[in-house]
Amino acid sequence: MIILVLSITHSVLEQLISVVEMVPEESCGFLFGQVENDSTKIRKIMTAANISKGDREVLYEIDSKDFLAAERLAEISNLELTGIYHTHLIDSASPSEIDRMSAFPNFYYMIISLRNLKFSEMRIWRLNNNNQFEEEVFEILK
Amino acid sequence: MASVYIPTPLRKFTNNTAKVEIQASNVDEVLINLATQFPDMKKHLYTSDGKIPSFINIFVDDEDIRNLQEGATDLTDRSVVSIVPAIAGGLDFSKEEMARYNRHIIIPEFGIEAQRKLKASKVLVIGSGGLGSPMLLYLAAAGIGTIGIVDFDVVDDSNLQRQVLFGVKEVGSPKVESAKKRLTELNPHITINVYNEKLTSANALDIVKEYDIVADGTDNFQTRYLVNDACVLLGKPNVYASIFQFEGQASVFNYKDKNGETGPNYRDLYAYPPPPGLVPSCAEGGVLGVLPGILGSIQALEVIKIASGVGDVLSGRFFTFDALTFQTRTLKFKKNPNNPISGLNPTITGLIDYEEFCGLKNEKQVKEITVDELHQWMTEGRDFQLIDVREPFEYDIVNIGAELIPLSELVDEADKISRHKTVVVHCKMGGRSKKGIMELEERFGFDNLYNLKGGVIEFVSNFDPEASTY
Repeated sequence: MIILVLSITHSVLEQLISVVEMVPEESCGFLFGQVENDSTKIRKIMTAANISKGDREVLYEIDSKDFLAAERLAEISNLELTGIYHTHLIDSASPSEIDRMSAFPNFYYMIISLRNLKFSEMRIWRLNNNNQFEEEVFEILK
Repeated sequence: MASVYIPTPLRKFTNNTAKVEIQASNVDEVLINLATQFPDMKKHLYTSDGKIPSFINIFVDDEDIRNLQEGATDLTDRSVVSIVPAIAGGLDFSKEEMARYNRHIIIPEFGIEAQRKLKASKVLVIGSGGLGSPMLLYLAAAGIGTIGIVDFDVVDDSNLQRQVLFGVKEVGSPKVESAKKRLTELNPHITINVYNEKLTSANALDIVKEYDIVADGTDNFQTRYLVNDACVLLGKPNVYASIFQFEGQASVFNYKDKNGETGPNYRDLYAYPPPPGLVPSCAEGGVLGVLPGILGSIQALEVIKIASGVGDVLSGRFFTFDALTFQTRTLKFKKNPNNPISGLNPTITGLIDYEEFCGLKNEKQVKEITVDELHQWMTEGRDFQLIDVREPFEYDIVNIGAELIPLSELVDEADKISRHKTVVVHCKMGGRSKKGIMELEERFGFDNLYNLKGGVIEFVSNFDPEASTY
């Protein structure tokens, strides 16, 4: 049996999709997981405001204070801040060059592609040692 | 001593510790000591020039140090310094660009990936004339991220029949400036660099090295060999086309394919140029205006294919098109082991003097007079014979009262040419009259013939600017 390293619970996924389908611009937030040995189960999300001063249909930015709040939330919920999610409104769920340039190592980057604000595709990425994104396979848990 | 809060993505470097105690009295010292203690973290804390990178925010307690005294912000024993990654991202294309490039992006074999490659590519177009005009319009419209244009010329009335970048308002302006203005109006999302100078052996390598792809839109042999050699020496693909009257040809030279194999170049087809004067330029021989539109568009197509990686490039193949019969052919050609720049024993290892190489410096000279001298002779009423070797229809457009003997009839009509007084021979620009004089001297031993430098065009532009021209 293959045990996948990364998984997300069905209920969190449903909640996430229903949240992002409501936002007519790139939306973003945090992913919290239960980390055991090498496996990560995404158990919780927290939405964040997109504070980009550019065109928010194609750009997102998260306030540093929200990042600190997410770190605190992780602490009190006994979970780890394991990554970031953001949506693409007019592009596939692949990271852009801007996504890559602003990414940090050891962090999961989930991209949700929407079409006309309806869920279309979801992929999770992580930087490898050459600072390139590699797609992470994940499992959806009941 | 200050407490430093390490964000999750950087905790790998602190053995998964969220809080570390660092001996420091201000923020700069915190960073220096942190980087000393955890060397792997250094590249995330400093840019190559030693600054705090834009993707890192630093807070002291709940305040961003940008609102305090930056790195000099003092710390107490109770201060908590938090290092916070700036989380951001997004699309490399604006909403306007996505809308503009939509018809590219929705082609399954092209898509946003190919469009991204176009945006990242740098293309140098040499010459913004007949071929350069359509090519530049399509490259700019398609979203080539950086376009360089080399041209030293100014827009002339006779350009407008085919050089669709320019309009009546631009006549007299430098081509590169007019081109940049027009292309920026067409696509404000791209960068355009202009070089208002002639491409020479002295500047070619410096200009070409800044680009990924070169497209040659010039129509003379010295520039063609110069561009070819510069591309071979620097390893750049050279998208070539040329046109004459009703015929066009195109190919892609020096293209490195996906297997790393470099295709043939112009010198594999023609190692050396034809003798000077054998192949006339468009200015002398004319060209149907739409033909450079077709060939320049083919060049734009090949540039886009190379830049995007989509399709099979016209490398090792030579395309010819006859506009009158609509016959097209695509001939295959291979690398020539005797190629003087890329063969087995290359003799050319740097750029050379291309004027000399194309025989332009050793060409037999004839006696010349300037338009100023001719004008003076006319004013003084000096006794000399003036002969125009152009065609009758050209004579009807503009003439300066010369005796008309078209070049093709010159030899048969040689007895009409005086042997006792000075004879000035002219044509439109000085090329045909020079040829005529050389022939008369060779066959009949004339020694009293003078070629009018710059021809009737230069004469009327100096002394009769109201006269019609062509």
